[in-house]
Amino acid sequence: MIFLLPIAAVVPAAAIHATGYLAGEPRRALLRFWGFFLATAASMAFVVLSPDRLSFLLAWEFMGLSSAGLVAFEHGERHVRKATWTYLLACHAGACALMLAGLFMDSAATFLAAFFCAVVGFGLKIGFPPFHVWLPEAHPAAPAPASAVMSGAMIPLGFYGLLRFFWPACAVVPYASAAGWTLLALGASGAVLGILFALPQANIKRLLAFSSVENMGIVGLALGLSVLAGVEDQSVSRLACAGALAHVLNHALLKGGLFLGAGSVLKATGTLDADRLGGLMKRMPFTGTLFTLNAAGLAGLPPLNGFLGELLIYAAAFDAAKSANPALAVAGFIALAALALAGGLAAAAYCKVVGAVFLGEPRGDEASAARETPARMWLAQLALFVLSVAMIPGTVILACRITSCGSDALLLSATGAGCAFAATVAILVVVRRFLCPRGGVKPSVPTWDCGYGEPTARMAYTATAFTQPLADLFAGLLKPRRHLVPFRGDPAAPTDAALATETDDRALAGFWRPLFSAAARALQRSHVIQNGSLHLYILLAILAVVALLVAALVS
Amino acid sequence: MKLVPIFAAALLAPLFAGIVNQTKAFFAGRRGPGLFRLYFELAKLMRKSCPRSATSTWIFDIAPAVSLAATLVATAMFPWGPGPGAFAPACAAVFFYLMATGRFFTVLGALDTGSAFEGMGASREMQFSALVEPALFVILGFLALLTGSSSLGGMLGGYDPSDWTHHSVSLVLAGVAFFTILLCESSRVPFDDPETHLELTMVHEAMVLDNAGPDLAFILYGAALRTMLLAAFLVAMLLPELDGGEWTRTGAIFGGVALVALAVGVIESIMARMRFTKTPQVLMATLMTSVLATLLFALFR
Repeated sequence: MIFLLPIAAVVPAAAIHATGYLAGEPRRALLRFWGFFLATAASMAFVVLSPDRLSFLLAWEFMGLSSAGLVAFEHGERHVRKATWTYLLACHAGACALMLAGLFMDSAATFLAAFFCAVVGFGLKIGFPPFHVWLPEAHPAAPAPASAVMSGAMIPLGFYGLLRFFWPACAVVPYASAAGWTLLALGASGAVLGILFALPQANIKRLLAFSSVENMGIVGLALGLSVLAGVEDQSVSRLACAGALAHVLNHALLKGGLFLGAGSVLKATGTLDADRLGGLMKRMPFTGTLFTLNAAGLAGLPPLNGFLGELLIYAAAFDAAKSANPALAVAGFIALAALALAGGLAAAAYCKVVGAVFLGEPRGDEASAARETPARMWLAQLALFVLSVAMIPGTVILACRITSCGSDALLLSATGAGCAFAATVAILVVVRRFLCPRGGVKPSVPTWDCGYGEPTARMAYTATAFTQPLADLFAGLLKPRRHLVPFRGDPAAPTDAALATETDDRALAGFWRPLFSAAARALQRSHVIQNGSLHLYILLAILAVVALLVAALVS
Repeated sequence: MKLVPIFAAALLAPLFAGIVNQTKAFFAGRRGPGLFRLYFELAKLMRKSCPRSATSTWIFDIAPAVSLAATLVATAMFPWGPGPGAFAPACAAVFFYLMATGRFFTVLGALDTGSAFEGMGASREMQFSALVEPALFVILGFLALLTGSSSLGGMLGGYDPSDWTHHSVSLVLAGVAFFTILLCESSRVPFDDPETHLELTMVHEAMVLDNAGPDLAFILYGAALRTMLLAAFLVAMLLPELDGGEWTRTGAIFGGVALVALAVGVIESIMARMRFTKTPQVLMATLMTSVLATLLFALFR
């Protein structure tokens, strides 16, 4: 039921935002959008409410197809068609794997085969690496409200599927440790790789998509820890599980808000390129403030609610690290290091987005001409943010239910510290206002910058520059493409130089393309029986029927 | 009575900076500005006005306050005495994530001015802190393993004194790793140079170029308090359970903090700042040191 909450929260907010976002679109396009939007929302709800396996699979397929319609909204553009194609492929491959999993899952002997098929099938929706390829393609292509729904409410349904069909089995079957380590490894690599690839992205929505890979990785990591601890230590297991579910909720609300904010930026400026924006906080104060708060929440910073989910996972990891069981202790340390690295990099990534898009001076005409969006667009963002703050007590209650009150002291102490922090900030802000009563609080002077004159936007650090040290450090992994136009001519009066870097998804070029071309080569041979001749097809069909009849008679 | 060490820490923080500077002056053969210089500095800054860049927004206004508030709450959470601090039983993650919130807003405040220097400092600060986190949390895991407790108060409340003889190598390795983290997180040599702000060394000082008056006072005081808090963390994690009265542990922590201040001053006097590109390597080595400390402890338990 917890997985219904993100749907119930994000879908209405996205719908309100969409009324502003799609203003000015032709009637036919609007009809198409709302049709697919409602179909997606309904099928998502039906996935959770489906009574049995068959209806689950049907709803799952329908959800994939209808949301592909949303991704293809601007189908006039080449990259959108390509993204839709990638997404459809991922959906169908996932459905195939799920059907296989359904075949295997009833017998204990084939439990592991079923589990791995399910991890592939649901992983293609969740975005575990290397199954995440469709996320960074589809999210920037889809309209922002659709991205918000898909990222906030649809992706976590993969975890719903895993939990619904495999959770009870994981606790009893002796394969629990294999299942747990699989989830932990996929989760840890998703958390770290997701945010590493998010860092150098200049496109805001592409960055947010990679950050979804990170957040789903954190959830997977927590569930893996929970499965591993399951047999040994119930309290750790429940703590990690509570953390995972809380993080699903927080991610839905906060990431939904961020995608809506990115949509407002696109609507107001016409670009998502962080290197061409800047200074939007003054031009779009509501959108900017809400985006900043959402980003701080998703970076897991107290006192916002994003922190509480991570705190539960940290607490579980500390408990696992000190356990006497060496395997569990190693899992705890891996979880600690991966969470910490992902947390630090996420803070850097969100600082970059907020800093480059909303702060400083505008870097181009698009940004300087921007105006605040219609109220209903930022009100949708506000609704999601308020919900996420309101979820702080909700998280405490949820965790208390799951851990049978093993976590309430921990969460209450963190909430107490958070309240004290907020109060101290308020006091210090008032003290500061009192100390510099006149002239001080009003912005009056140009940026000092050590006396380098009024700095122009061309001198300010860009989004790419901000993350360049980290991107360079991990260049071996990220393999960024550089386009450098060097200085030419007289060294005393050089010509303009330019540098642009792009970081592509490595899983696509390094794993999936070779795999698909190898598959295409291997399947060339089957063209013998698929030569376009109807006679041959009919012959094959009759042969198959005869073979089946013979088989039935013999048995 | 629990409030006394918290207030003492808040009051003595500028003295920590004084000890560091006085040590550096001693090594340089100067007379030095005196132990209490930062107190006068803060008093002066509090009386000044705070001009603000026309580029900046509300983020620049609240950034110093957020940063200082985070450090103040973390100070209150710290277990100064034998028992836990405020908001017990707090997880150690709350303590360090509060500091991360302060850093997040300081970095945004720096980007808010639109200045190239401040952007550069902000970018480097985020790089360092992201690389420090894994080492830091592995050390915290080590402390959980050592003390058998996963709350902040338990982790820093002292371990069985016999462990010191059995696991001295692990403890020393963890201490060295945390000391490196302290130097990096509080922007000291060899990671950053607190005395320059307009060289290519600049990290933290560059971020606050545009802050003045009470804002700058908040930042300077917050930085001193943060350094002192990390030093206290280092001392408390290395101190075993102590016999004696209620105040023994508190006294030992404050005494140890003064020694850490001396050590920071000595390092700053005898070392040059590292090349910027070397920093990630040192931080990776720190991570490996903390992993090694944990492994040694687990093997010989």
